[in-house]
Amino acid sequence: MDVPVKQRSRASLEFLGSLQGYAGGVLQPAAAARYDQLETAPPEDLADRRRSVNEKLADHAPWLYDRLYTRYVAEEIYVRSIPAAEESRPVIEEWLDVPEDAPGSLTLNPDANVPAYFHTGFHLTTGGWDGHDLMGVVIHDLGYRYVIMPGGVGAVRTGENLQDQRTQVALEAPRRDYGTVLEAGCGNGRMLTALSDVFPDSKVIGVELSETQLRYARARAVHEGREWTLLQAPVEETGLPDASVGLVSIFTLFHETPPTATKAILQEMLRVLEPGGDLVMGDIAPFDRNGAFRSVVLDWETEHRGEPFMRAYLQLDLPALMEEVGFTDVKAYGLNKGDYPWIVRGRKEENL
Amino acid sequence: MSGENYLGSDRLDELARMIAEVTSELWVLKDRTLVLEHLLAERGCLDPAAVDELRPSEELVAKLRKEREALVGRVFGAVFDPDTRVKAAVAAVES
Repeated sequence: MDVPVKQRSRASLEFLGSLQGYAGGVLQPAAAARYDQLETAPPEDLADRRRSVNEKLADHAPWLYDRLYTRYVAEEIYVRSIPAAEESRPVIEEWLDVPEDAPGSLTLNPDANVPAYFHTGFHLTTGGWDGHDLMGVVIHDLGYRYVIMPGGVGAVRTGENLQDQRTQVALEAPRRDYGTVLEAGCGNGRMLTALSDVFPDSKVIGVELSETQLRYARARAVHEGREWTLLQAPVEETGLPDASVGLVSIFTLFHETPPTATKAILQEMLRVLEPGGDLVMGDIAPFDRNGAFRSVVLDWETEHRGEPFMRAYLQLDLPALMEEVGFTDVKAYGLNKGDYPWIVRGRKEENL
Repeated sequence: MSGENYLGSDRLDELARMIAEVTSELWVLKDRTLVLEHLLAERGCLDPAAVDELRPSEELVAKLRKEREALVGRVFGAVFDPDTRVKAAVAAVES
């Protein structure tokens, strides 16, 4: 929604976007160039890369300030967005309050099993992913719009468009004629919008644990005229029938989940896929697809930007895990500069 | 780089964060000034060039000087001990 943000909030959020843009667009490239000068034989192992970058750049101001201000911006997004949302609470609540009989549906389940990793929260969100009742707007219409989109973050470099990347991932599905498309971990519906555009004739289902994100997704669907079926459930245990989905889409979920959960999610996706159905995942490329400096920038998020499973994800052999779970015809490849988004896709065999 | 701080000490981190906050506040004010100028011009209350072309009257010069000196005193006087800072603050109010 277009939140009527007051001048002070708008300007202070825009400042964060500019500061992040400067860190990611000026300080970080300077640090990368310095590292390249100092390290002629970068190590292969991720832990060695971490040591190497931190040693070589131990007193390099652009690197130190880039990291500090990236952390600062990540914290300040919520310090500034939550009050901004409160200033516009009546308008936001009116936007969220959509008719129950509008096309599509939202089914909440307060008793859903919540995995431990969900409780740790993501991205330093104040109070956790559901830490504020307007968190959908806080994340999407304030943080995402004013800070993340202009400033870039993590794997998304300054100046890149996150929404375009979602559409790119949807387009990597090998077919366009799926009866039902499921997004596992649909958040506030950004990827669902891309899926609806790419698969206009498919039934679209979104499964997500966060109530605030689902309420946002429901309002988004109604305001955009989309007919989405939204379910509150862990993606390891969706409750959907066996073989009921033609395409599973998973976007930037697996760097938020521990490998054991990732495996369980893949098993669940295989269960709900129809024989011959496809899974397409878009996320960050594994560390060995990135240079030493870049992989350390991504790895840094593990301890500093509320991404506790980033390190495990970066080292996970996802294609092998998909094959172990039972997917066939598994392919992995990168799109765009820096292999982002990184695509891993596979198929459920016809005879399963 | 340790997980505890980013610049080698907590105090340095805090100072850098303060600079970020001060810059943010500066931008909020600058944004507001530009918005005000835009609105005033849009509503015919201000020739956009008038701000740059203004030659302040003696009265305005004195007011700007007083405000500027107060700002300089507050920012750069932060190195003084508390008693000195209180005296300076009281003097600023009384003037």
